[in-house]
Amino acid sequence: MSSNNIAEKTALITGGSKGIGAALARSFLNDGIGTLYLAARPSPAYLALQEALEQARSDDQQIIYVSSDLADTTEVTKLVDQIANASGELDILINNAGFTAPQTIFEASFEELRRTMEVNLYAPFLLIQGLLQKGNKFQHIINVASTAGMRGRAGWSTYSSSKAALIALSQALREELLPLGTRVSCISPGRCATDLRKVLAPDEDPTTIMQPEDVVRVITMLLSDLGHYIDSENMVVRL
Amino acid sequence: MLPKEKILATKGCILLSLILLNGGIGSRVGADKPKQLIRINGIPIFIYALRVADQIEEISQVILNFPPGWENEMRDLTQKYAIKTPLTFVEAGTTRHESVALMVQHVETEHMLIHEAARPLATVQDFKLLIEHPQDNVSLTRPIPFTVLKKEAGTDKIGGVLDRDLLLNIQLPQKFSTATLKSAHAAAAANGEVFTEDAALVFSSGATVHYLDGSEKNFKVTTLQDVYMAEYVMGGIKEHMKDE
Repeated sequence: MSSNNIAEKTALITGGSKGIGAALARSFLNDGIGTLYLAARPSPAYLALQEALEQARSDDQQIIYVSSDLADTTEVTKLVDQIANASGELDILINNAGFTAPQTIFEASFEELRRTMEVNLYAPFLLIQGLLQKGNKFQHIINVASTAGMRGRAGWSTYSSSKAALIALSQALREELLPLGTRVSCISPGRCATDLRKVLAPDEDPTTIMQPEDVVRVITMLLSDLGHYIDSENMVVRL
Repeated sequence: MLPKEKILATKGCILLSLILLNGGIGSRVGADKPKQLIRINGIPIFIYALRVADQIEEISQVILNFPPGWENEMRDLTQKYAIKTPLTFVEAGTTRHESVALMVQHVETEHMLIHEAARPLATVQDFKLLIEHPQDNVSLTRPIPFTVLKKEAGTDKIGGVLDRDLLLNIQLPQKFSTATLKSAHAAAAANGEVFTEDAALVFSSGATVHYLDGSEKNFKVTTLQDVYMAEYVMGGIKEHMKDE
């Protein structure tokens, strides 16, 4: 029988307070996830989501809310330890957290570049490495990159270069982890109605573009048995 | 998750130690470091066998030899690659024969396995064939697909024809009764004999050794060409080969 490969599994979603991460958390609950770790910085949106998810989860589903800034490598290490010290494997890792401060190179600061890299590249790298070195056996890792990482664009140099790096990291890990039976996918959403998109395109009407739920449907498809037939080395998701 | 040591299934499960032999300095592959640190697809070659051991609950311990000076680096790599089976590190002897004689002293199980790191393509199934085999002493082998002739000692003349149907190419892993292997090594030491591998040693000591047909894939990585070949075989079906 065909499986969604989500039911009764353990998953971590980073950037889990809003946008694609929040929509994916709801979807995972519907699909019968066993244990869900959500990681995000503290915010009113995160608190509101936590209340909603507590209403939505069934009694045999566990959600662990982690308040953490993934730009801080010590917080990433703490998250790795927390997951590694719990019982069972982390089956699914969704590296979804993203940061951007779009500026031309004339105006961008090194601090902005560094924070962009820390959230978009270093955090996924350290989460995967930390858990692997503690012996975790992943079923599937999905990195959420961006079409901005496939071609640089004026004013987005920090964001584009961080996402390009995430795409390349995914390609390398796809080969490295294949012998362990771990699938590594990378998706590159185009414009999608999230808070991050509002930073990139403040004047755009978000109702006219792709919604987080659309990206979520693609992610759950990739996790499913059907997803094995799809080339997800760098899958473009766009309206 | 993540126990520090492999959780051993002790109920009805016969445990075996695995001796994992590592070669000397890899002069043939052209690297100026020990052969076990040669990398296949970026991964140190000896890690492959340890990953297989991690998947076999019957393997309770792996005994590895290390060339003098390389213990720390090997220990560090086994931690980074999150190897779960308990490991015992033993300094290598001057020959393979001597290394096995030293390592077998650390075996605590009634039966044991011997493998070499230079065969990174050995699978769980290869080991299971031996573990489940009813006999005490068993080696994987391959048929010899080419013609073999004897030399006449001390001359440039052919000295005889060998029937390849009666010859075997010895492969690893192998399984032995620990007591039999220990006494065979003791006898060899007493007689001053040195063997290049242990099926020959145990046979020469008078014990019965059985053979099983191993897999063609489980070849020994000796030359740089073999490294490329192993990477190719491990890569499985390449993307372009999936297309019509």
